[in-house]
Amino acid sequence: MTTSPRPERWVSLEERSGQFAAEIQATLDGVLPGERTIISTKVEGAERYLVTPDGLNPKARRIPLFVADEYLADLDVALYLSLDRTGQYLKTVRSDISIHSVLDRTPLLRYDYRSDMKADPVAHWQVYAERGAVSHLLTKASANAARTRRPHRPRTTCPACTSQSAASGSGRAWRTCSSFWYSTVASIAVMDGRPWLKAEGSDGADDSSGRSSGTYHPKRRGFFASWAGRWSRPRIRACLRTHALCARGESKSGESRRRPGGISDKDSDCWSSSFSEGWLNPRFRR
Amino acid sequence: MAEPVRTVTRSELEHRRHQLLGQLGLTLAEFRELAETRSLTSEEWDISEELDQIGFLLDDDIPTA
Repeated sequence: MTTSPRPERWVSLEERSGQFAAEIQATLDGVLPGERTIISTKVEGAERYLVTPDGLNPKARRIPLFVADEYLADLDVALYLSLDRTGQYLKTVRSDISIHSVLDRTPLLRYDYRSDMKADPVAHWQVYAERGAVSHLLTKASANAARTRRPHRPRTTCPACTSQSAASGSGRAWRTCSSFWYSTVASIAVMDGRPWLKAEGSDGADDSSGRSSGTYHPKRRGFFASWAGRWSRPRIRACLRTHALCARGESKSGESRRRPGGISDKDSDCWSSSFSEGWLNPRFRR
Repeated sequence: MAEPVRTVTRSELEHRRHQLLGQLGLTLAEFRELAETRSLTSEEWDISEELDQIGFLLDDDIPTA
């Protein structure tokens, strides 16, 4: 009879959830200015944990995001952890990550993941692109052309969706919170970041305004570029590819999903025009 | 530095849920129905998020939005 080797030190689930919260905090501290504390909350007697920024209510738990030192949006993060099927390890059963406008406090961009979904997508982005608050944020972010190529324009939104909902391109590969987490941080790269990210840039492609700028650039060798970037880029590309297929009415199985009224090939590049060159694409090149 | 893991009691969570629903003047079922009927305001959205989180911790979560 063989026995599995005993771990040198048993780490409780509570401790693991605390370690996970610390990892999330380290990621945020690495790329965003300001200070915050990420904590894990549990209810006594149950192995269910909620990892969020510390605060008494959702408003207090939001993480402010800035563009050129102007407070424009809030990042909201809630990761729900429970036991996996073995009953020994923590599993992220649900993720709610969203960016809220300061104008009306309702979400601009939301990522939802549910592990108990019985049909795809188990994870999806919800982009509330029809609202003026999105234009407000993107226009402010676009004021500096080094960050985004052009302002948000209505023609770049997908005609298939009022609120755009993009199934995650690589399906279940996207569901894990850690790999997704890097992609999320990439998506908010138009926001002001840690000044040292700029100091470590080697290409000189940053803005010349002198303000702190943590915008992502692949040539940077900072915390974000070396670690998160290599995860986020292929996944975002996959997401964009899949959405383009959907918009053209094609699926992987070849079955037609074209909607009544149809979407032209020209329209199908809505993501590449409004996102891959702007918000969601971490490769902010001129 | 705050403790990375905070433990709350069921009664604290239930009390907080009662407070939140009291702000709206609705029961949980009524609020869920409201969330399905129309878009939530910013205040309602905040409450919805917190109710979801409380529901998860109490293991009786049904998303409100």
